[in-house]
Amino acid sequence: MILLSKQFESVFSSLVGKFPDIVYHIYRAMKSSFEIQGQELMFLCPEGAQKLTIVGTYKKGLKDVTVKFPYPNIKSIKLRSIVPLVDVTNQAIRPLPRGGFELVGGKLVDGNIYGLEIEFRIENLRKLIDSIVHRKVLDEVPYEDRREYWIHAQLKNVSVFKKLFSNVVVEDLDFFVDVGVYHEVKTSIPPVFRRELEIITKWLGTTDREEKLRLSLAHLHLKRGSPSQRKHIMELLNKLQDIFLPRKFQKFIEVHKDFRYHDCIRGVDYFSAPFPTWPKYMTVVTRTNLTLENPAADGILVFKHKDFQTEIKQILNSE
Amino acid sequence: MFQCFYLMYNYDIEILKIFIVVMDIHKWRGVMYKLKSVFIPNVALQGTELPMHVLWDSDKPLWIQVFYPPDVLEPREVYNVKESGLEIGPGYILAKDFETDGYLGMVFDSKILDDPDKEISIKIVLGESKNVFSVIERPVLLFRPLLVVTSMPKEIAIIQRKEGKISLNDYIGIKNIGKGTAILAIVPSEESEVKIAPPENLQEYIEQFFSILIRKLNELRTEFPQYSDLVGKFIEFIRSPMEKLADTENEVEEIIENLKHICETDRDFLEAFAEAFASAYFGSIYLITDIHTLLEYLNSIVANRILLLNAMSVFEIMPGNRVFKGTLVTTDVTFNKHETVNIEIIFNSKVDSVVKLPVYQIFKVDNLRNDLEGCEDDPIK
Repeated sequence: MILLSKQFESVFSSLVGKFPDIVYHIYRAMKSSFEIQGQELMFLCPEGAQKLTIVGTYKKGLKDVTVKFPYPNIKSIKLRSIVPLVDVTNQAIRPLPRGGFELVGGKLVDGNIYGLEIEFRIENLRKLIDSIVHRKVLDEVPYEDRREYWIHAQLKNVSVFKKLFSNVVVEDLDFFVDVGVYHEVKTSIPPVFRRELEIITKWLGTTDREEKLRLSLAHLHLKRGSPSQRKHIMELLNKLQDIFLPRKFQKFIEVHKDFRYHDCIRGVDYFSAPFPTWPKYMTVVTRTNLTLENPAADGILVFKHKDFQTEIKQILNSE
Repeated sequence: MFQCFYLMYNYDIEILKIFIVVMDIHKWRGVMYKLKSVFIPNVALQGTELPMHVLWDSDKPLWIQVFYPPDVLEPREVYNVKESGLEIGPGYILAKDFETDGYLGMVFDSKILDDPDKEISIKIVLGESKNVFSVIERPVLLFRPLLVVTSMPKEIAIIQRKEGKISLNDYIGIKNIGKGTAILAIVPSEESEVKIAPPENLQEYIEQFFSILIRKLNELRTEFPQYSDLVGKFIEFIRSPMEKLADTENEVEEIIENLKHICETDRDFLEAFAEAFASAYFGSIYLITDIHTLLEYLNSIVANRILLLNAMSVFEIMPGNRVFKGTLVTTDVTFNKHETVNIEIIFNSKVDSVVKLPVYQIFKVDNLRNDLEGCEDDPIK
């Protein structure tokens, strides 16, 4: 069975609960004193909030009357005059003791355009976003020489928002791209270095004195034979770990088109031993925005694997 | 069209081409339309989703027909099309009536195929009434790993050389002839004489880590009784042998999703949960070094596109002839299961004591030289 936008509308509605009623109530209350010119809903993904903005021209009438909005999950409110751009929150907004706010019209100027911004906390943010946005990234690349990952986002439903809002923005949507790095690490580590790791591991694991002596001699033999391995192994390993720090790894990443780079973290390795290990993947976090005007976005993440490999080889002096 | 003739008459043809490209607006029999964006992925792992979209501006309603190979793809979701305006046929979707103009979104499921390297074609046709405006056709490569066993010895002899070194006389030859990464797990059967144990050097760490973690998670069940069942399931999950994870993927996914949801909504639980892991980590980290972990990491990468689960787990082989029975399980990076191979090998150990043979050592990748192969002076082989 093919799912259409209508099915996702019912999922979305079940998650937002009474929010559309709240929006409608605020809109009606504002309409009594403002000529509404537009309203925008913004999903602020990193903050876990949604922001409702209603812009309207103030008409005479709300002089000494207050309008109450008793909604306890309001995070913040702002009222701004658009022309000139002035924050009038303190003059016209008063918080209510049990949550929510009231709008007092006494000090507003007739004929001025104002924007009311209300931020609400969202519960079940992930589920809510998943009900309105389809997200997908390429799981892995098939080509060794071209390490490009496509990233894609699209709104599942547009009409449900157009009924209530002139604009909807889903801001800073996170996408996680797992960039494979294990091949470059493995092929950049010279056999001599790996032999040294094996020798040291065996040395640490044995209590047999003769075995320890044999391995010590083997280690010495290795070090003499390879000038590049004269540096202490722990120093090299520390430098190698550094390359996976976000501020270092990000220089090997480029993000194009509708997406932008945000952060990177060591990949969670579901198929390794339960100890902190070296990453086979680096998870790159990219972001994009979706709107009613642009309900779909696509991008490309490029991993500069040759530069990454060069850096590892330089660290290990294997070039 | 009149404007085009005027330009051709008065200017060089190259300027006309630039004009058309820059404007990117088409006028066809009185209908103005502009294709803003078309996305069709060029590659995808078999068994995963393929999203697509079309964005356009038009002053008249358009129709869009999408052609796809039905033996490879199956449409799952279509966005912004009215039910009455959607026609599904063999190998095509026709969208005629949109909820709002200018956008069509789709998601297809791709099947896992016998061919690990399949190129297909997706065609999108846009038109108005009986006229076709644009035809966009693009190739899509659908790939997956395909692990083949190139040689399976009936017997592997384990020989003791001088200075306590061990060598094998044969290996299991493997090769990944697909383009995706194959994640291998070797799973012993119940009746196997030869068992697989955690690596010696790391066993103490693993035991200590899990012992602390499970104790802390059980404390969490008392502190948060409303989540006791879920945490209990999580404890069972982490107790499961890693090789069995591919079998229980759906249950695992559900447990993880539920835990994520609770962590998002209950900050106290999130902090306590994270603390359990931190305690286990700090309480056992003294038993392990970066060297151990890097070695495990390198040995788990059998070759490019072949990763081995628990590479440094060991076969515990008593002297004499001992039979190993088990299965070689392959998954891809999204844990879709692929081919499995039954294994039955006799380890003929000529060593007087128990041999602990790292799992990775019995594999050899065809056409690739292992790092330590053929090195006469190798001090540790």
